[in-house]
Amino acid sequence: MLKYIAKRFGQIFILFYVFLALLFLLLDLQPGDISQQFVGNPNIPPEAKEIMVRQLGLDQPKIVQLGNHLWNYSFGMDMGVSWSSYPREVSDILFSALPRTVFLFLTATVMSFWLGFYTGKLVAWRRGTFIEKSAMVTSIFFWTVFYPWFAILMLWFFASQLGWFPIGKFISVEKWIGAPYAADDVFMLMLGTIALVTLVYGVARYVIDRSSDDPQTRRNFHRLALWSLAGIAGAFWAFSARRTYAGDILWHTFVPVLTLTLVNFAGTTLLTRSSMLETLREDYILTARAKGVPERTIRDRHAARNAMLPVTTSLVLQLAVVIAGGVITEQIFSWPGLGRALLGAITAEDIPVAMGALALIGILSLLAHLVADITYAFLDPRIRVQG
Amino acid sequence: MADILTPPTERLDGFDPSAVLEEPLWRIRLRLSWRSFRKNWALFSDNKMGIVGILIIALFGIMALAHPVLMATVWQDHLEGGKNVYDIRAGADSIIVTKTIVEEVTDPVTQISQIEAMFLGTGVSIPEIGDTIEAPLANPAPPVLSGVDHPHILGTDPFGGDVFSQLLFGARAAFLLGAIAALSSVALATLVGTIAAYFGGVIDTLLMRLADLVILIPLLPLLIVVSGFWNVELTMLGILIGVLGGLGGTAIILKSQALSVKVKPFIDAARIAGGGHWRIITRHIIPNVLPLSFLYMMFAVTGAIFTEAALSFLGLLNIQQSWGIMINIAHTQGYTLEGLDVWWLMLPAGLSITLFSAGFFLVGRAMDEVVNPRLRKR
Amino acid sequence: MSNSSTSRLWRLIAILAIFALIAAACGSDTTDDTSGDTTATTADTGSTDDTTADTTAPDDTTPETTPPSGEPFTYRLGMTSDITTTNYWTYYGGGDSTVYNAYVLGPPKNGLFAIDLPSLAVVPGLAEGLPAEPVAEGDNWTVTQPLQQGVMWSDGNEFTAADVVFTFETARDAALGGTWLSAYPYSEDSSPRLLSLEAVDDYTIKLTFDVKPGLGTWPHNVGVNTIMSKAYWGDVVTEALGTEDPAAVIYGADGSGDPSIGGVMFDSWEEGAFVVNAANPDYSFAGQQTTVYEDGTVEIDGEQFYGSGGGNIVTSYTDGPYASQVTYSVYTDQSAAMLALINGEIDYWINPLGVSPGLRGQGLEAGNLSVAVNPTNGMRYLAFNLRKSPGSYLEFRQAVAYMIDKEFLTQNVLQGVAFPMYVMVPEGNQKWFNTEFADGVKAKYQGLSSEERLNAAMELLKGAGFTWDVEPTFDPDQGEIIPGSGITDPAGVKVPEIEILAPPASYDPLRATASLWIEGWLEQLGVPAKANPTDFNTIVAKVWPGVGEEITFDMYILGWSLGNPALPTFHESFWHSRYLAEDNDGNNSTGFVNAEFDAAADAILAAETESAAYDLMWEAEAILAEQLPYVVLFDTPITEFFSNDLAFPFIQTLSGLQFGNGFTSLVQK
Repeated sequence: MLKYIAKRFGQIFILFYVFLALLFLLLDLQPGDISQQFVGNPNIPPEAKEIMVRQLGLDQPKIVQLGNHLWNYSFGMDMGVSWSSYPREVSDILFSALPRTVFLFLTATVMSFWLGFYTGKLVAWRRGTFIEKSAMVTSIFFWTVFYPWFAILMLWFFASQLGWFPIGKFISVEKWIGAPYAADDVFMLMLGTIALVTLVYGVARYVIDRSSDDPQTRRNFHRLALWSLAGIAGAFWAFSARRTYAGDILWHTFVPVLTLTLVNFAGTTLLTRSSMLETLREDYILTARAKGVPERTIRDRHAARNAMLPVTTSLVLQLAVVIAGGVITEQIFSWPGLGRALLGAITAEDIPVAMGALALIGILSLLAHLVADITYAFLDPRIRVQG
Repeated sequence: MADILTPPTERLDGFDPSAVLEEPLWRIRLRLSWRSFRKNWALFSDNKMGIVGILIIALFGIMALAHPVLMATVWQDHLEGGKNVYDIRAGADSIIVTKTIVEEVTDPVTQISQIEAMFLGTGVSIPEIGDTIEAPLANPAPPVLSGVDHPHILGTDPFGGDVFSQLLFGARAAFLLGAIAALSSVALATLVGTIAAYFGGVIDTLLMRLADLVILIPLLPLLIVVSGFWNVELTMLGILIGVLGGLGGTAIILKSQALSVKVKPFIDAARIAGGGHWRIITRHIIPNVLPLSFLYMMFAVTGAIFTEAALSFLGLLNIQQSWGIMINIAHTQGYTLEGLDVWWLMLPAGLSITLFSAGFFLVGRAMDEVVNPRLRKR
Repeated sequence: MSNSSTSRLWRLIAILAIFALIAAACGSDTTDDTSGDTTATTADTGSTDDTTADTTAPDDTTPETTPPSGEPFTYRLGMTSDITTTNYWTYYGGGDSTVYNAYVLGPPKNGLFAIDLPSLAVVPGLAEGLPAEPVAEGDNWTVTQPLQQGVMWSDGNEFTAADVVFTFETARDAALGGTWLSAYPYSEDSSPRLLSLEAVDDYTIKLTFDVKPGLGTWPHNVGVNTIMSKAYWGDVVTEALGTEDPAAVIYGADGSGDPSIGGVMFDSWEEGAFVVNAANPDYSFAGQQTTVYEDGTVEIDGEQFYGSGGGNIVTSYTDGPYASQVTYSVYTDQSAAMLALINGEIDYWINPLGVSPGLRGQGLEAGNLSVAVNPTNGMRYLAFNLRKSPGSYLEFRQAVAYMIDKEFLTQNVLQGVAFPMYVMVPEGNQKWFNTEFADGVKAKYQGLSSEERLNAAMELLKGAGFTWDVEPTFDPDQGEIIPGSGITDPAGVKVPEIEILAPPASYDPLRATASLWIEGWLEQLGVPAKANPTDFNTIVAKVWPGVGEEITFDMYILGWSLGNPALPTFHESFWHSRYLAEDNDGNNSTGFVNAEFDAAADAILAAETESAAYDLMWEAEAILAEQLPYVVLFDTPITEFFSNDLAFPFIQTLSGLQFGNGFTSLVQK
């Protein structure tokens, strides 16, 4: 299995370089340049443009620029200097946006996967019933709804009509004015807590599985581990001075995550349904039924677990949809992540930032692919045993 | 899987059929195709959702066809200032009336408030109460306007354009975009998939790594960048979506399908009978991959429509008129929050996008059950 | 993976419960935490911002020197885009010249002179009295300008002549670009050239020019430029000048501690979310009384400029700042910003484009909002390429101007959201607008029937020697023009299809639609035309292809925002032969070369009095109205909404409240 993972890692690494080179060529071909930034301003004389071009190194030969670029991207993530926020480092701008996007993206992916898988399983099991039909219609509606419009409706409904949630944004101004913590730090701490809880829970499960053979005991310990971890994390935050700030961030997260989840869960639902239907025709399901295994056990253990395999693979394809939706989500909910950095750079014709944002989104989807590959390797016994 | 449409046992290519049969080959093929079509249709029509999908697509098809017909007949002579008011971009039917500026508007047809009169002025002078002003009767005009007879079934947009005409044209644009994207995507994917499967080795590796690369590139952000910097029009967008979609995931799926066809005995038979690579690929493998290709074509349409609408919404495309543009104009002019009060601006276009995508999606799902026997109920 | 659906359900409930607990925790904390937070805030800001500059001034947010009328409040603004820097050098000179940077970074700064709004008069800022007259001194001309005494920076240092000299020298020695370059014409090819700027004593500066500077140079360039603090920036600049690229070092420096000389000072920036400016407790102009009279007199603390206070009082106000804090929160979507305004999350949405028509209805219905409608300082225009046929024929341009029915276009086609324009100076700039002249031009075109338009255009074209295969005619029965075809220019060349470049509908529906109608009018004349909605960047790349490139567009439609309204200098910038796009990527894209115009445009800048400049400007306008390198089309007024709780001293001002950066030190609640 390690060999498999190493191989995939190597492949993805090479692909990334090809991607970077293509990206540079693509963006270099575009018609505008920095000197046209000033076209809209009648007060700026032409000499000012020349100075800017020289300062940004645009007078160097293209091949030198490309070489520099690949080199800089690989060693130290130097993506150059922004044109519209001159002379800030692109990486500085983007790395502050990255965690926010990762958070939105991860939460929405996990939530929509969970919701989609659960609904899909149910729908396949209840084939032909009213529940199936209504669930299918709902799924297809969300799968095909025009996302930006839906997002604005959600904003209007939750923030304006009900007034339960804020109108977009990342944090409340009133709460954060002169806050003793930087929003990014609190945010990173929150992400860190989630990561730590997940990691410790994973290790705990591994230990529990190794030390006990009785499924019932294992299950109880799993639950105990989860609850105690959640308790510890909850207590940490409850007694932390940062709690109101963390709460504020969560409060702002709710509607965007909900919207993104609703729009994305349907893909998983539809896929799980197909996958379940295929699995349910397998002989071992028949065998299980003949043995008198309870229906629920057949559904959840025998069918769903096997149906999950192709769904996980296709998660890779789903990721693209989540990323795409993420860009629009960030725009409508004023969420200062990578997608908005990208859109802002396009409007301001800030080529280095646009290129950097696209590259980072690329890396993000690349890492997600790798994770999906590894998960797949764990789930598929053929690969697991081989390695 | 693919043997549903044309079961390999019934395929006689590679042998000399005239020695055995009296009927010409094409007629046999036609009959076999017809038979398999009927069988598949029976399977397809079992699925209610698929039928609904077909009906939706048919409805949009009628809409798309209706636009040029109506423009040439019923809508021919509605000129204002030399332009047809039904023209999808330049058309403007402003229904200008003289309104009196009053403090409190009691009759919106003949009166206008001071502030709203200011919106129509230069901003330099404040309009006096009691003056009259030339103003649009209602902007945008709703489908039914009490006291006024106007010829706009779905009202007008913020610039006096006929929403119904735009909606019909939008269907045309959607079909055009969908067709370009789906055809280029699937043609490319089928070709790449079968070539990779048939030749294997280095070609396979290269093509599949290329597919990996394309999957890796996040489509919408990439298109945002491309359309932000270049002048992207409808055809260009269709081809872009098609090429990026066709080289990616679809190619991989079609390759695995082609691989399963490649190992079938009739391919060996064809090869023994002296069929060249190209002939085997085009005559034997591709026809067996086609049903699945066709399925992915349906999904490609859904993807293309969504992408166009999203890019148009962000104001990045240069498209004359489409559902996405209709929503973009309503949104940038600020009518999003009016919600149902100006429902004709966003709802028809938004619903069309959803329904059109859903139509192709449903047909795709239903076809999936035909192509993939394990999903069938029986 | 989980073991059963029940356990999965439990997990969901657990997550939700935690979420609810946190939400409840912060919900209940809101009330009692605020007071605690605020004290923590002040203490914290004081300790973290321990720049050398800050130590002398205790960081206290309560305004002491401001007139104590009403409770201190937070002035909450919304913006649709974040700022990109806190460094004023960068905003003025780098690629960061966005309007959002101006909104936030502008109010803490001041120049020697300020442009008073709404009168557009040049009034004393940091200088004492009005701009001094240039005097001849040998071959050169000098200006000796006294400065105000006792004006304090927010870091406790006094403003002196050293700051003015420092600002100039930094711009020159570090070769800063952008506005810095245009503000100080020190380069050899500038005329008039600023030879030196020296301090005579702490409160007097002396500027030396090679020729007598007109209003366009002094005060309108050098005098109104922003002055930076030497105490804060001196070390940074000295260090920067020792490096290879001093400008980059200066632009890259942190500007968050930059002392203020205005009503507010920079406080904090939570990137992507909000920026905060706090009241400047040491604001030297707090309580300054300004009265503007109808005859143009501006009275500041009893001292009258430009008149003797005739007519009614236009506005009268006392400088604050009244708000203890100014917050700018970012809402990227315009509908979201409007929702925030209606819901009372913000007091005013500061936005260069104003509120779009659909959102106006929302604003009017909301009941808690006031509205300000103002003219703008801009124009949208159709430009010809005078380098090639048919744009090179004067009669052709005039004929096109006759065919464009601007009233029909703005009222019937664009539904009254735009108003027609006939001269380049916008009507809203009432200080410079010439109603008589504009009405004269308008009378030439306004209210003509299609037949009259066609006849006028045909007469011109025929007179120039244009011929047709089929001449366009007017059909009186149908009341329509029957389009002609196959137009040939006087040189005997068939006119090929003319491409009208315009931004696509998704970028600006007004210009996109206008281009289609202009296409139609050209076709009526028998000119084959095609409106080509083109990406903004692509239009720019085609119109300004670069130095030495051939410029091949036929016509294009774009817009300008017109810079300093107190002395419009755009005539020179747009049409002077010095700024031909092919020569130096300058703004003269049309290729308009006219010696008479060049002379008039130069004279506007060199004019010594405003009335001379006014006469010259309309001389230049008369040439433009005849020669028509542009056909100016229309513009839109700016509509802004703000909370009923706010009180501005005036809301009728060119380009709206946003043009005054939201009047952060005048607004009251």
